[in-house]
Amino acid sequence: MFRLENLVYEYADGRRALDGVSLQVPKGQWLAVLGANGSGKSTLARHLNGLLQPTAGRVLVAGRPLEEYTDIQQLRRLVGIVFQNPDNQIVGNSVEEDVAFGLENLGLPRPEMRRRIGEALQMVGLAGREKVDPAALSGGQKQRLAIAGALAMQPQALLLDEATSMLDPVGVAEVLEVLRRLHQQGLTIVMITHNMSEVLFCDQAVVLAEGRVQLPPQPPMELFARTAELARWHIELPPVTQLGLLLGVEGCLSLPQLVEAMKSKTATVQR
Amino acid sequence: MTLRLQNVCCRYGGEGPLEVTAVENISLEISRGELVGLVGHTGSGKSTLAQLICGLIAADSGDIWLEDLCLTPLKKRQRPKAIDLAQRVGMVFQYPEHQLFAETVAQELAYGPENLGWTPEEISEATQRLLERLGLPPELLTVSPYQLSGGEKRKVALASVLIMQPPLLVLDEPFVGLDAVARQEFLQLLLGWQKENNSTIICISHDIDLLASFCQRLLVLNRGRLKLDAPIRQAFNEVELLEQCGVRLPTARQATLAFQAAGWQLPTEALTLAEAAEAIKAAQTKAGEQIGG
Amino acid sequence: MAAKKGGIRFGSYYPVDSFVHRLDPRAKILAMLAFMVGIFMVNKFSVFAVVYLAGFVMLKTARIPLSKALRSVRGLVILLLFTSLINMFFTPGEQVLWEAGLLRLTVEGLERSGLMLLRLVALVSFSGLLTFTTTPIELSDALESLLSPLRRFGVPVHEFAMMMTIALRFIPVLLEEADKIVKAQRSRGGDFRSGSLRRRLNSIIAVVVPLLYNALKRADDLAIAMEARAYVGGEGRVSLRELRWRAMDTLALVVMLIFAVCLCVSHF
Repeated sequence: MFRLENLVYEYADGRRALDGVSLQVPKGQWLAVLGANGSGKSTLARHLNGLLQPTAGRVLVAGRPLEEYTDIQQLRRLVGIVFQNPDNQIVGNSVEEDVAFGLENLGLPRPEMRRRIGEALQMVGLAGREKVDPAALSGGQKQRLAIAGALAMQPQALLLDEATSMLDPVGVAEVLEVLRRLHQQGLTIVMITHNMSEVLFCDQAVVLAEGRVQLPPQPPMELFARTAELARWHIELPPVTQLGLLLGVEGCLSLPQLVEAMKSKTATVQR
Repeated sequence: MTLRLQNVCCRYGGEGPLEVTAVENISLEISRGELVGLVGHTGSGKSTLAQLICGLIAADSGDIWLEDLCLTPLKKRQRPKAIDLAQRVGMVFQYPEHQLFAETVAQELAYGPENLGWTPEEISEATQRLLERLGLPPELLTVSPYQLSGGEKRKVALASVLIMQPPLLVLDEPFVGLDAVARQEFLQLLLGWQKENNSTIICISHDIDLLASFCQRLLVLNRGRLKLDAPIRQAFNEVELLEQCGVRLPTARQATLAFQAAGWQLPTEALTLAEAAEAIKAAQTKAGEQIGG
Repeated sequence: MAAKKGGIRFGSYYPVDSFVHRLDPRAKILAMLAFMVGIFMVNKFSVFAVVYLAGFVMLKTARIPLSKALRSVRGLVILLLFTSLINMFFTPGEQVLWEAGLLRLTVEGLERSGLMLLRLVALVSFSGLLTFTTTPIELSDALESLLSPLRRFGVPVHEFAMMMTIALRFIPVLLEEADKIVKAQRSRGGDFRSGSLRRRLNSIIAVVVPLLYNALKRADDLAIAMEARAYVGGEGRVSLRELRWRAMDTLALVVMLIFAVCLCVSHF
């Protein structure tokens, strides 16, 4: 779906936000991009739907280089994005009007819009709330609304740029649940986060720091075991994993898993 | 500083976006130097309670006393002034963007003390002392607060309240959006200052692991009512009640309970991961002896 | 009437369902314009009786309580009193009733001030027929549609309508933010009600600067979010909300036009 080749992005003052990133995201994959503040991960996301143009290197979306998309709307349809602050990306004065915003820009016929709005709201669990004022929604609901707005465009990939970082734990869980469903339906998802706990459902996770890929894409389980490197790049481990480390068990993701690991360890020691 | 609330009620005030969640009949007393965690799910009334304590919204009924200052006088005219409040209580909000405004960090820090009528000498002395305390470089003073990184902005926003040395400090979700390292750093700064001033801290947070690591006492709100007020170690024994209120147990406590359920014998009092690890290791030795024996 | 949770109502939209609520907002705007012009032309007490009767019937049809329509007048009491007093005492006339220095109360003055009062009260209270029955969004859509011919002369009609939509969306967000900022500064002793002028000014700055900074940040974020959702301006855009002009709208507008013409004719 995405292919980055030696991507470089320089700010106007010459600092490099991205310093040679190469990465491939196959169709249907759920990839987590991990990195501390200032690692360049948001800049990376903005290249994937043409909001930013690379200083050097290439970005291919669905097999075509970015610069070949002369019709920018075509690219926007292909790749949806959800941002960090729920309040700063909702345009409509009601739930349905917000979902409609992108469709209105595409100039679709109204019955088609209605159909897609209905489907998108169904997908994120906001069906029946069409007329609600977005201001009356919780943080998690607002982000789900933003996801619906992106889904209505029927994209092939969805980017989430720290979309959960301003939510409470309930909101985070709501959003992850929606993403899990979308992943099952075959959507490509690129999720930017600094929180390891959100990575559990992903297929692969990659660690970005100082504008480079520091740990290549790998299944979360494998990544979790590389604790020293994660700590070095300021990636936060889930508490259970931290506890596991204190007990000498690496890459532990859940309490039952930890209990089992400790039991077998005890048995081995005795034998 | 003793904080005392008696039968405090605040019903729906304001309209639309300014509406506040109600709190009902809250009575509690907090004495100087206590570290108190305030939890409850979104809409439980914890922000309302925090703002009532800081005198930022008015109660409908009941009494709130900050030592000798009554926040709930009978006559509206007698309500305490901002200055009287600021001498007794400081509030740190989630987003530093809600309060940073000055041209330089030095001016930002001076705003509160100026309002309290401190002399320029007092202010500059307090600024020096605070910077040292918080481990911030003096060069920072001439920088615009808007040029700082996210973590630094938080620190400056915190410092701009700490400089007034409020005997009571209320923090509303101070850790959200900070990564692990920044969060620990922020917490250590806060606790260091607290120790020196013996101030009371009331901290709202969803991060129950973090609260468990430094609070002495836990308040649990649910639908505007105070459901639990207990020393933090005991508070987490109320498993059912906490679940009803949508408050999860700290990971440390969950872990010890999980090992207990698996048949290991260990105390389930742990608050921090280190404590839990200790208890589990001790139990492991015991379990090992059993298997071995 | 309390606003529903999280929502805030602008203007004075009164959410009931009625014949008038269902009319096309463009028809309502045009009819209201005609009615206003008509009211301006009325200069006889007997005709005002007809105007008020018609107005009350229309308010009834729109299911707007009379008290609500009259409430809008309350805010203007001082203005109304002032204009009627000026009219009463400074209108030149023959039949003097009472005189003291410059002040002369004449029959003509009384008559003129009475007419002016009736006219202003009618304008203010019946304008609610539009604002009580039409949401701000409908108004903005209707204006965009009515003004769209101006696009040919380079007037950015779509952009104005989009600004209106976004403003409506963000006013509650900014209100909430302003409230937080005021509280944050107040807990630092900031107070713009007491203290020296310099201190008060400083306290106002302490609220305005973060508010502006955050608003600009939001604008920046929103622009990117809109761009990411394929927004490229008004060209080729189709609004989900559709204004539909029906026979009813034509009928209502024609009736109102005839009524307004009659009112104008009564002037002579």
